[in-house]
Amino acid sequence: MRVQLRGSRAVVLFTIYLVVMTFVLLMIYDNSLGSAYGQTSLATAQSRLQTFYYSTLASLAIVITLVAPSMGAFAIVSEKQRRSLDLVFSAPTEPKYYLVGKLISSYRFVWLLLVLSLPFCAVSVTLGGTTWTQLLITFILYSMYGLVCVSFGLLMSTLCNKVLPAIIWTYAALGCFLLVTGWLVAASSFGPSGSFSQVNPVFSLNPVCYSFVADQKWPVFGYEIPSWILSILMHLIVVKFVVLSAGSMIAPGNSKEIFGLRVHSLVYSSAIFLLVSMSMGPFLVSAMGSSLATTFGSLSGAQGLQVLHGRTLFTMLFVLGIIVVPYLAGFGFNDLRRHRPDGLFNVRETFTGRPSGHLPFLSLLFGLSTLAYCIGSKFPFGPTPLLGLSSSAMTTIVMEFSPFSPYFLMYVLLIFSIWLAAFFSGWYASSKKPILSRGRTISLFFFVLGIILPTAVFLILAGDESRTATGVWSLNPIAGVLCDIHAAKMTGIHSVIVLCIAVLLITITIPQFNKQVSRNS
Amino acid sequence: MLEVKNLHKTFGGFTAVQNISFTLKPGDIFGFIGSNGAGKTTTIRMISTLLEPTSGTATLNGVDILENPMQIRRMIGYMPDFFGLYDDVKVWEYLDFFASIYGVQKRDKVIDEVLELTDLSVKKHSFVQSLSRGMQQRLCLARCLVHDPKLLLLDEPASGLDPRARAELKELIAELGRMGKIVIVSSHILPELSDFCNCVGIIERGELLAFGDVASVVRSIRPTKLVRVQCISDLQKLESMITKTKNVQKCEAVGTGEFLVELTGDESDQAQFLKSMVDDGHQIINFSEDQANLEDVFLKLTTGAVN
Repeated sequence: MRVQLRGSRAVVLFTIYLVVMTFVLLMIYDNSLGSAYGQTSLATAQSRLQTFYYSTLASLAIVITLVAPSMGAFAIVSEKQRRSLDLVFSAPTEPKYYLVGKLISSYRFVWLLLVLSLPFCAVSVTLGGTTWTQLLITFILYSMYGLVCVSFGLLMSTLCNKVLPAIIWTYAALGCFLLVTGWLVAASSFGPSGSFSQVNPVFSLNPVCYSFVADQKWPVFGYEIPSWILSILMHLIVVKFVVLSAGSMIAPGNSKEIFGLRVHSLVYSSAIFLLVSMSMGPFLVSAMGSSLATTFGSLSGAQGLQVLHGRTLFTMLFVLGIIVVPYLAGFGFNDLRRHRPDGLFNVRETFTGRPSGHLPFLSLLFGLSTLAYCIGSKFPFGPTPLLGLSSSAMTTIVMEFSPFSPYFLMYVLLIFSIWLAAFFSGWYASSKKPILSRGRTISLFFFVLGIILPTAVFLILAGDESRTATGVWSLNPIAGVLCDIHAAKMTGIHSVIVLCIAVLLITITIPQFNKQVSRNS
Repeated sequence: MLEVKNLHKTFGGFTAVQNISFTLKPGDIFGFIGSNGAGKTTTIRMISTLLEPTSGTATLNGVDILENPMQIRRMIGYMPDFFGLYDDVKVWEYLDFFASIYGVQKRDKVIDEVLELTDLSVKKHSFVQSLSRGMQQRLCLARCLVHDPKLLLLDEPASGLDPRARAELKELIAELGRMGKIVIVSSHILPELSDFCNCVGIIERGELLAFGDVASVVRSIRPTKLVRVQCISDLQKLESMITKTKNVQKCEAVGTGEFLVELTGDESDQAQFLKSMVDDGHQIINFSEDQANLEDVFLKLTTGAVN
């Protein structure tokens, strides 16, 4: 801290921050209250003060979003450029402790920003926009958000070798995180009636919901727990996961970090799939009606239920696949031994990070996540009390759904084929020329050019009105996920097509790959 | 005791180090000689646990680098061929940071001691970026010493230093050897290495071509002695006499009244050869052995090729 704040640079930066914040908040205050001074009732004034308070928090969120990621992104990449990383790792320093140290040193700035902005927020407490308790809880939640931002920065910092790409990738990753968490907050906060109920603290990872989370409680197994405690817990889990990922990047092969990351991936992934599946009840009933009315065209209610579950599982596995599969779909030149081709499928290497363990790990991840989802689908009441659902509706959606039903299995087969094809496209590229980044890029391209881009093209071509199984839309590789229920039947055909592509890729990859293995043995 | 056993490293299809083996005991100062890209740094990085060997291993005082890297790190001091210094940090803060990483007790006392050893006590409160290159190099060495390591790995420690700084560093390394530490020094400056190293290894294309004490390595490339004989008497008669001598392999006139004689046998054969020339009535004004040095050895053994 002494070194970080040495010299006049820190003082100048903090002064600029205070001046800018003062200027912005004065404008907001004037806009909220200035014109109405002396002309409004006390209640209206207090309501406007609350608006001012929320605006102050929004400004704070923007500042943290801008500052914290770059602090993290700069932390390790600057060590790489200074070439001091070797000095640290030639000492008895474990990567995870090193990263935690870096996390804390960058996180201190978030707290400095929060403490410096305390006087602005205190105005709202003094004048009546909020209470000290609420403010303190909100500050803690914002600091947690800052911690998440810093951890994303650290992760990208371990992946990049230059400062600018590290910062750009950090903001991109954070943007995706905010989009996903924003969607989760919105999806989990609106009940079957479509109106805003409560923010589910399990998904409250987005700063837009912090002020709501600060003063609500959430029932867990019959106990009323303050939502902010659950929210902090979720933030810490995200941070731990991201830091473990960063640790596996800078750790040598077969390290504790890689083992830890893989075990955590399996546990968290299964937990999330289980949790989402267990929380599906309200949405299923909302979509289908309490009597399982046939709102799905030619499919009966039970089949519609299979399609809904299938779509949800597909979407979740697709997102998980984009994150995990390209990273593991390559091998080749790298400083570290773990990227040498040492075989295609070796169960013993599942947790070591060596290439022969990638396919077993992906299979395990896919299998456990799917299994967790299927188990959760039998308990759709979730960890919280039912949101006004009738028990008969809940019983119906539990009884009518079977994970072994054909429509659901079609979706499982489709996403499994996509994972397999994406993995072997990268593996094939690495087999042709063993460069790690090559395999990863090709695999990512498979997702982007093979699935996402065609979907966008067919979306434009088909238009909103004609998304049926018989139109051009049916050529969309994930038609069964996005469009009219008729196209769900196309999922089976798409599954077979993608599976054929995967088998073709496997057939042409194995001879090339064996050459690489024999060359390296 | 450091035992390196068949250390091998490949990067994909590229072999950086091929089955290197050697043993060093406490107090040894080992000069690691090789062209750029020969595999010196890769070997040092493997011993320092920064790089995992493809096969083979090394043990330091019985501790394996693969099985217990953390314990190895506590016993080694690694100085790479770059400084890696932090900005806006004072000399004592820099050392304090690393001392705390190593869990050193009584850090203030240790820092004062290593600063004194490296002759940087007067710069204790200076910023590291204000130090000269030679001082920064000594600071890096001080960093390696804060935890009193058993093995020092110094990668090109003298590169970029002026003659005075080099001489000071040389003396410091020799002192560390006297303190009983194993020191591995990689360098290009061969005459300097032969001054303070008691054993050397020559590496090319990842292969250890020669290893041993300096004298034996030199002897290994030239089993015969090369003697320079200068005479002011009848040269033809002398040449005829030399070629007829039992231990002489070859005799070559290299200048006015001067011969280069390749002689087998030991020192007593050499003395007998001189005596026989003098007894024969030749007026010898110079009789000296052409000593081979590390540079000759290096040039003879290596081709300059890299992987």
